[in-house]
Amino acid sequence: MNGTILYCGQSLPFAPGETVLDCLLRHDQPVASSCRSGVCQSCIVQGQGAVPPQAQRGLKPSLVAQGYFLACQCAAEDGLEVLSADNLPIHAARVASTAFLAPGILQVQIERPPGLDFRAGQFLQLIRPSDGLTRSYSVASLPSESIIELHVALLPGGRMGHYLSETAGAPLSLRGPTGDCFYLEDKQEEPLLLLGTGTGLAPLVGILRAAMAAEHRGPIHLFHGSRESEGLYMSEELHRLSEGHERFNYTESVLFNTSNPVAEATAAPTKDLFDQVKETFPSLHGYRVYLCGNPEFVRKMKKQCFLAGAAMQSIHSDPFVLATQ
Amino acid sequence: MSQKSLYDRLGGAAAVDAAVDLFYRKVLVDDRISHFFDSVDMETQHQKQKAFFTMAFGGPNSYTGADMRRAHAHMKLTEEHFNAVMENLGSTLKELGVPDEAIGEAAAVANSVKDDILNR
Repeated sequence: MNGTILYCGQSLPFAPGETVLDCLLRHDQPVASSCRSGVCQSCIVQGQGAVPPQAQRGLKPSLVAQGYFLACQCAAEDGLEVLSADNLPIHAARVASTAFLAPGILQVQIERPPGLDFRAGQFLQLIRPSDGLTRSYSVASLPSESIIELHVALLPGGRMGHYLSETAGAPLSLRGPTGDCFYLEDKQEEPLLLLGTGTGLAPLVGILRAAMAAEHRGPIHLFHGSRESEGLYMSEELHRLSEGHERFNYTESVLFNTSNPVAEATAAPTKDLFDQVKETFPSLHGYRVYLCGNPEFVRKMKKQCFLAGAAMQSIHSDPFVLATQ
Repeated sequence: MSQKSLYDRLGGAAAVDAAVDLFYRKVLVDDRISHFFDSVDMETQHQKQKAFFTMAFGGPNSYTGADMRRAHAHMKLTEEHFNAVMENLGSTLKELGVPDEAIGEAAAVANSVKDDILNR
């Protein structure tokens, strides 16, 4: 069978019997590869439209859902389109409104541009049109809503945060979506463990909303960690939700309780989030775990959850790495 | 009548998945070798373990001795490190109920790339 595959807007003719990997390499395209046997997953790429399921064997369910497949396991088919991260479409948008959720934490609502698809919990790149300044933020709202909700931590010297908070109706370009942290519709019975620090709560709230909209049947546990109690910016709403839903539990974790200096001086140190999770869940076998926020927290918690029995394919992480330029 | 490969006899990809999860957990808490995994992304490492097990079971893979050598050379591994990994491989397979003979076969495959892994 002959034909061409599409890669980054280029039509690449393939030889009969070639795999997608063979074809890309023959055309000097930059695709990593190693075992060529469908095991190491170095050659993972994302497809547009239907993708042969046998080329998706062994991939995490969140990757399968987004059309990722292994190039070495996929026979080239005429018209198959392979995406590149650089090639995701850009959408023009505008900030609709902003509001402070807590000191230094801004809720940003953006008018949802038509044609931008995403799953709650994934992240979008926000690009300032005037100079191309780019920052990524996770989506806390559902794709069914007409606005996109982000939670932005305003950092000293933070240019994007400043732009979003100071410019009424700020114009933006949006690119994406990217990210592994989203609710899986076909896993309705699984116990979910959502762990986040700071504005890592945003994607977790998105996942929680998606789970509830899908009438998720398993228990959902959400832990939010913050250095100070005022950083628990959705405390009231999440406590309320937890009271109204039998299967949803919300737990807060604070390192320094600034609202009560006396307690801080006299009480035993607050258990940190790692210990709380370890004690509450001696085994995480069968759980789906979502980790978002501080990169060190995400890294350490991933290891802890894996050692407690969560399968690697059931751990989804989104470390919020600070931009350096 | 053809003899099924060790990979097929042990249960193919599903067996590899079960073995890797167990093996990787053991290795992460084995002080002799856990430090080699500190800075590596866990998911990437997990995939590499899958590739290693697939190879050890004689399953589909295209790794050459040179690949194994290149991948491990910078770690300056010693006999002790190699033995620690072999020990964890053995105890993993034993825990999964794999018969001793099959464990021996898997170990033999792993041993066959020992010099490449130790870069000697």
